[in-house]
Order: sequence, then structure tokens, then C-alpha cells
Amino acid sequence: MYEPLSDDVLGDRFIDPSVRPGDDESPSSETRENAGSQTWVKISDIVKTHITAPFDPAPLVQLQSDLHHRTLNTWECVVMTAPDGSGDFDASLHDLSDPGFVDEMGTFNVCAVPAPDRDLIRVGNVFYFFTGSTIDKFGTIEHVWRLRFRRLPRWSRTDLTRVDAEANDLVEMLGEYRGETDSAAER
Amino acid sequence: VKLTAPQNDEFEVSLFGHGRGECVLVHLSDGQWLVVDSCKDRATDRPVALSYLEALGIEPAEAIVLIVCSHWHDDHIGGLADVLLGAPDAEFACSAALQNRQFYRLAMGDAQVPMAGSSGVREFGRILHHFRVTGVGPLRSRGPTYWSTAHQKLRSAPCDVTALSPSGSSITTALTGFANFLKQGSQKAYTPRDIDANQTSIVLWLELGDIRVLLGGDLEETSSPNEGWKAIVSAHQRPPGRASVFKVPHHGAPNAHNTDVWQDMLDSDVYAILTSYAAGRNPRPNPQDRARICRRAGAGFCTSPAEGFTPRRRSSTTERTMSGPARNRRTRTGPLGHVRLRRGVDDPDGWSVEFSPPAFDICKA
Repeated sequence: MYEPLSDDVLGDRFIDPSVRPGDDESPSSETRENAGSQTWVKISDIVKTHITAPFDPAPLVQLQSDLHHRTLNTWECVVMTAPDGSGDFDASLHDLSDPGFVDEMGTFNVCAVPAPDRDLIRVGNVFYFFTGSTIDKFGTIEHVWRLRFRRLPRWSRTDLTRVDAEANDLVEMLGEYRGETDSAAER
Repeated sequence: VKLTAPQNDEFEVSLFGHGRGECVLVHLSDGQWLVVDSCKDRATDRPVALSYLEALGIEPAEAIVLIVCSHWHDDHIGGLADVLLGAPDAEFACSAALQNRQFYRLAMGDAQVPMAGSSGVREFGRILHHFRVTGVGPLRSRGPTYWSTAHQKLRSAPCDVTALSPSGSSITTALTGFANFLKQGSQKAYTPRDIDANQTSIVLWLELGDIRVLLGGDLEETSSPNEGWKAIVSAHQRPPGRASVFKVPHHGAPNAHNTDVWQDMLDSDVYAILTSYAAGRNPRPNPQDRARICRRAGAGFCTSPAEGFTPRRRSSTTERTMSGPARNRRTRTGPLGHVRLRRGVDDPDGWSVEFSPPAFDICKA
């Protein structure tokens, strides 16, 4: 029932909402804001779930392979628990497509995560959960989903320098705890 | 729960929670209020503390005299910066573990390059920003009024408010954690969940005449006699007497349970109140937690079910597709529950308890 689709079927004519311009690994707020509407995603690692009757969806872009993919929903998820013995882990789900839905918790399995991302399944790390549909030239619709982990930006040297300057300001203003004999005294 | 303000000589403990947030309001008498931690009401997106006081017809800026941030986990700090701004003359106490360069770096760094899932750090970063840039009131123009440590008296009139934690040893452990995290953080920023903020949580002892209340924050138990609840129970500076109301720590989890606390610091018929935590793999309090608490307490009340709530349904197609990888879905937060205990300062009849759904009696459920 589950069959991964390969990139070469679809070529490179996609925008991945989890990739920020100029950064091929991290999402930007700008692209994420668009994630719920008509966003096209790269569908490597997409897993087919099931097939339903043909439909007449919102505008689709014609792709080289006669396959069309449309992202319907995107969630930003945070890993809350490490995988257990059966590979299950819990994550929070924040709906980027419709903020009207409150955050949820869900249980995922490492098998659902693309192999290159599995070392990123750590508490606190972020991944994106896309659901959508593909339609082929015969009008057959497949509802598909995909998980993709966000690779967090590193703090640059400039970031750290700026942080140190601000931290120094705060140390000067607020002081530092020096142990039981010195601190925490009433200001 | 009737929205009527307490009398001046009436003591009140109100606990709010919605499955992933906690806020305690205490009327210390004479129209003076203590706020411990903060969460937002999902319906209004405002801090519960401000909404509740306004609903009672009380002006928060005049009534709140002390704000305590027990620790910086995101389920205890939501909207706290807004509470500080809404009560600019109130004193502010937070854990001394946060008074260090590494935590400042963490909070400021998060503002530069946000860490994943760090809303607690982010909210405290907002507070530090107010101190550093804008100022939030005459009493706090130079930062928190108290960087709190164990056995520090935060207020003495009309009601004694004393911090029983964090211990010096807990603070030292936290400082090491911050430093170690930032070694990793300089390589890659991710959420600092491996720093155990619960160990630096502020526990409060309130005392007014015969009324004694123990607010347990999220303090956990450890193997060290110098940290956690062991350090509190064994401390010779601990105020004498037994509390008749206990805000159970860490949502009733067994890692925050200490038998000696129940035996030495609480009345045998103590009112145990707690909030749930529906956001983890093991929602708390679970039935075993509730049974353990009810065996020791005279009565127990929780602000909302630990199991969370069934999410609002999406289209059948979306629901079907989601169910492929995501199982056991539930909402992290639900409606706001409220447990309120009131008692006249000289009232021999003891506490009256009210609660509004989804709050419930854990000993009858």
C-alpha cells in the first residue's frame, strides 16, 4: 500500500516550504506563511496512503511527468519524547495552514521518517508534516503525506558576538549569582 | 465559580490550568494579590491572572503586589511578561538560577536565532528585554526584586510569603547545565530541555494566622539530600506548622513525590490541588498519581483531565491522510479549568471549595 515516490519522476519544479531562500535546509517564516495555500512541495519520500475517486481540485500545475501534487495542510511539529523501544515518539503539531486549530499531540514512528532524517529525531527538534494529493494524467488521486526534519541554523560568530555583548549588558545591570553567601540578596 | 471578589479578610487560593499551563492567584487579604506563574486563556489569548482579576472587578495594576516565576518552563510562563507590564508596581521574584551570564546568553541568543520549542526561554527573553531596554516599573527598573533562593522571605505583610527553594546545590547544578548547553548551542541551537529547570523551581510557603499554604511549583525529588524536596524537608530554617492547602508539584508525577512532605509539612486532611499536563507521552496526573494523592489528602482537585481533549475534526480526507503517520492525536490544551478555595482569616470552619469544569474532584473521579 505504501509506495515512495522518487524525485526523478517529478523533476525539480517544486518549492519546498521547509527550505528558506538561500538556505537549502531551514525554513523561513515567509515560505512557511504560504505553506497552507497553494504551495508545491518536492515529493521525494512522500508515501502514498490510499487512492480515491477523481476530483476537480484547485488549479494544478502541469508537471513533466503528468503527475500533479498539491499540499493541503502543513504542520510544524516538535519532538516531545525520544523514540521508545518500538520506535514510537510523541510530537506536538502546530497547524500552519489553519491557525484556528489548537495545537495537538500525536504519536509517530521512526519508520515514517525518511532515513536521512532519522538521526534528527531528538527531543526539541522540529519537523514538518505535509499532507496533500497527487493526480496523474488518468485523473487518479492519491492522498499522500510526508515528514521532513528541519535542520536548525547554526549560531554564527556574529550572532554569538552580539549575544555576548547583550549578556554583558545584563550582567552589568542585573548582576550574577555568586553562590549562597553572595547573591540573591534582596535588591 | 461565582465571579465575586473576596472580602478583605478572606484568603483565596485560585488555581487555573488547561492541560499545558498553570497559574496560581492568591488573595493575601486586604486586597493584595500574589501571582505565581502564568498561562494564557485560549479563548481570549490574555494571561489568566489579568482576566480573572478584571472579571472580579479588581484593577490588576493596583491589586497585584508580588509576581513569582517559579521556573521558566513554557507551561508556567505563558504571558508572564504581559502580567509584569499589567502590574508595573508589583515586586517580581524569579529563581536565582537564572541570574547568570549563560542564561542571559541563552535568552538573547534565542532572540537572534530562535531555538526549537523554546517558548519558555523566549518569554523570559521578553522579560529581560523589558528590563534592559524599556523598563517595566519603578520597583523593577533594575531587574527582578528578588533573585530567589531557599528560605528567603519575599513578603511579610499582610501574609508571610517565604521561598523554600531552590537550594544552593540545585542552583549550582543548573549553572553547570546552562554552561554545558551553550557549548553545544554554539555548534547548533536546539531546545534546552536537557537543563532541568524543575530542580530550580521556587516553592512557596504562605502563612497568615492559622492559614498555611504550600505551593509546590514543579520541584522534583532527587537522590541528593541537598536538592529537591529532601532539602526542604530537612532544612532547619523551614517554617514550622502544617499546611492545609498543597499545590501538588509537577502535575502529580511520582518523581515529585516525597512522603516526608506529606507527613511533616501537611495537615492529614489537606486540600491537594494540581494542574494536569496533557502534552507528554505520559499525561499527568494518571490514575495511579490520583490514587497516591487521594490516599494522603483529605480532598483533591485537578483543573482539567490529563488525557487532553479530542481534536476538532478536519475534513474526512485530511483526517484519513493524517492518520497514516500520526496516531493517538489529542489536543495539548483544552478549556480553562479553575479550582478556588476561600476561607475567612479568622474562620474556624475552614475552606470552601468551588471548581468549574473541566476541573474535577480527583478523589471521586
